[in-house]
Amino acid sequence: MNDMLKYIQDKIGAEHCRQFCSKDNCKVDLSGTPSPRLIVDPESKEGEGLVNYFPDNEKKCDSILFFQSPAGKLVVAPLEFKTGEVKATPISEKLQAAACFAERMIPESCGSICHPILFHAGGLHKDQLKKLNRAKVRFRGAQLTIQTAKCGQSRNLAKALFDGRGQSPDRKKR
Amino acid sequence: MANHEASVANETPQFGQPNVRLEVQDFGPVAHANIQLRPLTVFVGPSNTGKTYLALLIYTLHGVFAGFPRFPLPERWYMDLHMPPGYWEPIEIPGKTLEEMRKKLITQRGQIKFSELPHFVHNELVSHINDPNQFSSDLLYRLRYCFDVESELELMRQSSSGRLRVSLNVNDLSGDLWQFAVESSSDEASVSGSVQDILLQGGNRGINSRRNDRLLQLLRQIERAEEIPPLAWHEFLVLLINPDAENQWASDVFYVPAVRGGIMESHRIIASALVGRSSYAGFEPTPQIPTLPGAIADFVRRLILYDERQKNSRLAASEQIAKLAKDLEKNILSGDILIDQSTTGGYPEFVYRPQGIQQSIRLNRTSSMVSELTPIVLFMRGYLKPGDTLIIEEPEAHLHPAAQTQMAKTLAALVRAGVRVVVTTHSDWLLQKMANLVREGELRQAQGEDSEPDASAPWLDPQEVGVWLFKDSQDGEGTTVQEIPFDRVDGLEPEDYADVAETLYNDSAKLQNQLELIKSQGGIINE
Repeated sequence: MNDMLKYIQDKIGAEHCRQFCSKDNCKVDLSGTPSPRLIVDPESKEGEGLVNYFPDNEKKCDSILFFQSPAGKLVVAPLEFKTGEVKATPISEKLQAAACFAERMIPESCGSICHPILFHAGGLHKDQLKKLNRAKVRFRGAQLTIQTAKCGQSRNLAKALFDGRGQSPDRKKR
Repeated sequence: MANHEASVANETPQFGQPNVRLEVQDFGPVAHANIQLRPLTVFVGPSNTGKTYLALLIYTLHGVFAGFPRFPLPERWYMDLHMPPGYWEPIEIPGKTLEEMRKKLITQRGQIKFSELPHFVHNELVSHINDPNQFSSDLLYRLRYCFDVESELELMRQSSSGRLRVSLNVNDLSGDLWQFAVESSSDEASVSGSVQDILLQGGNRGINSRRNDRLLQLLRQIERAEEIPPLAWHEFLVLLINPDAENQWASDVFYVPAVRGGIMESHRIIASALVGRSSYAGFEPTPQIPTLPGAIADFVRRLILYDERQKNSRLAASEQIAKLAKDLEKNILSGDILIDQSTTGGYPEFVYRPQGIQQSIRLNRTSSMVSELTPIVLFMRGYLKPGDTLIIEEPEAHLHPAAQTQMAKTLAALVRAGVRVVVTTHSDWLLQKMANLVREGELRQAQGEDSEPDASAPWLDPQEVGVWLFKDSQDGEGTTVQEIPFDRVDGLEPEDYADVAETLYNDSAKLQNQLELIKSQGGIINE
């Protein structure tokens, strides 16, 4: 684990970190994502949990992933898993809480980007996508659009994080 | 599975309309398909997966079996009724047999079983379905014709089986009726068929009285005659076996191909080229004339011979279909399709006249939407009647999304009017509207509303609709076909449509996020 990830882990507490993202019926395939990485469980019950960071129990996402991108930026990916009905507003609120948490954990001097991602089990209707598109997540001044991925699909996280050419969204300018 | 009963028909068939299950193996790109024809049958899936192949096969089979009746009489049985009586060989039937049949028809509430027919009649009928010289030769001939191939083996998918197979299973409310299968390989073509001991509808039921009167009239004529009039006996059997046989000659299938727009703009050129070349016959070596698939040739022929003035004999119910065509013209085309038959030889020219304008526009100067819809309008106005089958490739072609939903309503209204509709489509708008029409049908059912057809507010019964997804195996194993069952929430859409929408969304999300990243880092972005 590099220094920055170690710093964040120490700040959060290693007891709240996990080796995997998947929960219940939603499997997240970590293959293709850079390593080392830090996976935080906002619902951790260890000690007092993360109640100080997530006071509203209704606004906790399922997982938060930190890793360093090939271009050197710290990437934070708040992940929300939905196997049932997809409603944009509560999902964006959970992802927003995670983005705020990440802002507090990452030193301001550290260049970082955020990828809020919704993992879902079925097909999303165009109306749902339209609502997701409008439900932005703020992170360090940027209004980010929630991306989507399918639970259980091979390389689902890597596909969401990187574009079709396997490039990181923070790719360097030519 | 519920049977389709034409709501507008005054004389509802006692056994309901026959259901048709079609199974194919290694046919075109299709490795295997087992589909049921419903009042509205929809084929969806990527291109080159065999949707058109199966649509054309339905067209072919409809022609061979005269529209999937309760009993598959060879076409010539119907055709022969038009021949003069001298054409017929006398049939000797013992008076005792006739008396027995009459008694059965009268005393058994007008119903007798197929096995109760005189043995020689029974055997002759059954032998038709197993006779390689009857249906199978008709089928193989029509396959070559409709698909424009020299041999049906050109339609066979290359596979380990080395065998193309097409089979039909027909049933109705009374149970299974008949089965038919044809297999073809490079070595041989074989055919097999069977007829169940079906219940035949006799002559004293309260429904279909015109037919029943005719049945009893024929029976009395047969009984009185010293020598059985063969034509009367033949007609008697045809009417007995097929309750709707009176209309059988007129029951038809129409294929509206994907290339209809181009044909509408060029059929005069196609016809004149063919006529021009025909004059060389006998004087020069016969020029190589390009051929068309039979289904498209039939389509062109129907356009060339189009004449709405010959509609007098059509059933009154078809006026409702003509009215649906008028609605289509009004709501989607915003104008009328007119026929100018003043040209030499009565060759029809189809023109478009926008609403409120007195000037007609030739189709090659109208929008492509008009050329696409014109043949559908014409077929509805001039040909279609309850009991017919209408096959349309991509009815959504060149239509605005709102017009596509209107087209779905028209297709549902045709179903309500008793037309069997088969479409291929790529349109999620069409499928979404169809799903709403099914929901409308469920709502009507829940509210206990009557099922009277209302063209302005059509609906569909969930069991009337069959959406079949064609999926390519991606590994060279060919296409398989599976049903997309109606789901009250998800409707009738294939999953991959949502995948396409989601991929587009994520592409958009990533691009938006990259722009946001640049903006948040002080980059300049034109808002």
